[in-house]
Amino acid sequence: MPSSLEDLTDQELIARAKDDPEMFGLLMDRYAEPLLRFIMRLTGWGTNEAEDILQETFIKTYRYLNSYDPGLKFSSWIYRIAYNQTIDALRHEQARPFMKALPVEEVAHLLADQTDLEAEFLKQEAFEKLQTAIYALPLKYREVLVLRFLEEKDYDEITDILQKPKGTVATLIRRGRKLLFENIQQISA
Amino acid sequence: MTPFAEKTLDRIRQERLAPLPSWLFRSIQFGWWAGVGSMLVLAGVCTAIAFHIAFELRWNLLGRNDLGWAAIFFLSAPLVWLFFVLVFILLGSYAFRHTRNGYRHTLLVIIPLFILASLLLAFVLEYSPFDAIVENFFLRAAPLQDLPESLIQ
Repeated sequence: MPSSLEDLTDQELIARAKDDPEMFGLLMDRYAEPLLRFIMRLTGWGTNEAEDILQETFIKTYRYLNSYDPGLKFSSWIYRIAYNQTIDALRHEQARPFMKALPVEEVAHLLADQTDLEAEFLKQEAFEKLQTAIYALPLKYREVLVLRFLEEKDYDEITDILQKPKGTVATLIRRGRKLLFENIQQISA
Repeated sequence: MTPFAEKTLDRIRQERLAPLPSWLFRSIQFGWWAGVGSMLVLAGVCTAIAFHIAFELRWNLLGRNDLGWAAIFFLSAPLVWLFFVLVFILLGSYAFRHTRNGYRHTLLVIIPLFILASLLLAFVLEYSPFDAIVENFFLRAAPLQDLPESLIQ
């Protein structure tokens, strides 16, 4: 028996939220921060714009509660909804300059395993160019790199979030990293 | 509760939003699976017709000395039916990708499975009593002279 509402699992909160919206508020508290970060990382937009998308995400999640499949991780499901809402927003909005949504340590994490490049690009003067390189990537590569290296999702979760086969996800990650490093090397040249 | 969550809950209350009913989502899933099933059946039927034309009509045409090879090819090659088979397989694959877990499989897996299922269904249809029923129907309906009963099974 959970000692408090905070100890309830996502599935238990969902079951209660169908009848009591206040329970849905607890789910929102649990996922608001990570989802907001995810939306900002994907779009490069500021907090206000990302919060608009986040609110639409939660509204849609509430409306679609009865479509949730318990065989799927709830986090993957809600990330999927956030991803779809973000893509819709990106399509509808005109191109806007990205904000500095990625702090230095996150950029470094994206470049993990490329230690020579990592040292080079932690310099602030190169940082802005690096941000440009990341956000210049086609969306299909940026989204998998953000999910894998910044959100630290595993391949199964990324498959469920993006609704793409695992092999496709692996290929996109490999190609995305290669393209990112090529862009970075061009910038550093 | 955070101010953001309160704001969202206020909007839910003001707009009187509620979770959509389960039967709606079950119906949508049923619709996609019905699409998969119907496309599979149609692909199987078209494959059966294509084989029927290719293997049975061809024998009737080969004896025709008044027809050139090109005419025999286009009359016996089931090109139109194979085109429909392709269309139904693609539509069925699209429907399958929209089922609950269909996105986990690539088209490289789905399409060959669909082709295999169509071939199996075509085989069943070709060697089932259904084949004779359809053939007899067309024999009776065709505007030909009286056919001997021995031709009608």
